[in-house]
Amino acid sequence: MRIAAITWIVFFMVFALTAICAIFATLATH
Amino acid sequence: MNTVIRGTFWFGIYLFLIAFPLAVALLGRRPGEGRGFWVEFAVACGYVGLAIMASEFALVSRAQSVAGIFGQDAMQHFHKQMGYAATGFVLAHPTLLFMQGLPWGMLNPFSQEHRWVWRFGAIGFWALILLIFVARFRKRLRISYQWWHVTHAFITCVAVLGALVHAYLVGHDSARPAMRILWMCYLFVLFGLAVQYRILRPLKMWRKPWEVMENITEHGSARTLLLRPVAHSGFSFAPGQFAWLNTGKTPFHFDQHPISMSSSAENGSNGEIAFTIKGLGDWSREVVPFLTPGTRMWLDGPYGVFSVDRDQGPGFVMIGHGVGITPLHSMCKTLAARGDSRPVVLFYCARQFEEFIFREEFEELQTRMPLKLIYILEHPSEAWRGESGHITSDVLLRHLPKYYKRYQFFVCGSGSLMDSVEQSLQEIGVVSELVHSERFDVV
Repeated sequence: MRIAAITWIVFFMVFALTAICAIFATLATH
Repeated sequence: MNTVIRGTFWFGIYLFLIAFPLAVALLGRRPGEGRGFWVEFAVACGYVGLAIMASEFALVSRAQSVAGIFGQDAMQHFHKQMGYAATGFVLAHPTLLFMQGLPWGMLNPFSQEHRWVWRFGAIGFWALILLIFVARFRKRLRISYQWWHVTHAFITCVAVLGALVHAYLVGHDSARPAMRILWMCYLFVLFGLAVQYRILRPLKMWRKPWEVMENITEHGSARTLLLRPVAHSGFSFAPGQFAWLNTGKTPFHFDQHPISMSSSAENGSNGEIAFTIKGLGDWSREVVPFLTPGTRMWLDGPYGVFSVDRDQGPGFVMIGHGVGITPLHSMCKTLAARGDSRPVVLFYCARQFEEFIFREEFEELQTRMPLKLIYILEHPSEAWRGESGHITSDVLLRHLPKYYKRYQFFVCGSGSLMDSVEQSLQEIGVVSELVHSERFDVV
């Protein structure tokens, strides 16, 4: 159960990071 | 360095590995190269998915420096869960691109209309879907563990190489030297880990063979293999740890199984070690019963952090189900051999009385150590006067001593049992830091 919780945290963290990078890439290079 | 610092360090390294391609892609950008948010997001999902896929092997490559902190069983489960996470990112990658107008036909790896760079991407994509499907439904598809292991390794190579070639050739961000060097580094690290795992480790095992001394029939269709090291001193282990057993002609054989040591960690004079295996799968039913004294075997171990030696306390509560009793048996035998006077309360659950392995050994251990043994039968006969049903908070409270909240708790059994036991322990006020469990039903 703890491992599943850690995986969800990692998943959402990386997902948020991915979205932030995509926003930066869009804003900085247009 | 203590375990928390080392754990944080390695976890940080992992996060860095899966997020670094994003940073490299972003830092190399110049004005005018933007492609709109959804395309950028789709590409970023592809980078993260590929980085997670490329890092998956590191989680199961049994590197002692990492496995010794988290426990190899936890690493196997994290590997499985992150496999699903990678699939989520990889699925998002083409889906978002198709929503932006790219043709769905690009997912056809046999299409002659598309360039090889897309076809490699499609090969990697479908290989990953197949990988997840087979791992998820292995038992329903009736694929043996041995065959699954071989095909898992093969399909992984196809998925990762297909995706890497796609990322390397696709252009735009990937056309930059920094990005190409990065993917080459991932490939070299993967190759290095594979050489260590498939060549150097088996070579080391080959120099240290083991031999079956006895193959003992136990209760509940289990067998105990007593092994001795041949021309070497064997290894010492902490009670509760496990090793990978390989019964192939050479240690290069794919067929290997994680089995807990069931004997005392205070080894016998010849360094012999016992492993107890229940006849649950093809290997344990069709190979183990026929291993005769003198048969050569190969051991890779010890692994695991599930041990009374690692988590010390004024007393121990052990909860085992079925063959999950084996590491707990090793712990009890070791404590008895050391003359340890700390109390142990053991809850032992099985479907039927005949399935209680080591009944006689535990009764003998009760005469040598402060061991309180509680049998719990899931399907009791009418004559049974002991505990029955499942391990609930009521059952636990009936038998636990007054100061149980200071004890260390060790739980080993099927995944569903451990979920319900962890819940019951929480209900009776045991803090999660004192609860240790081991799960190996990964696929």
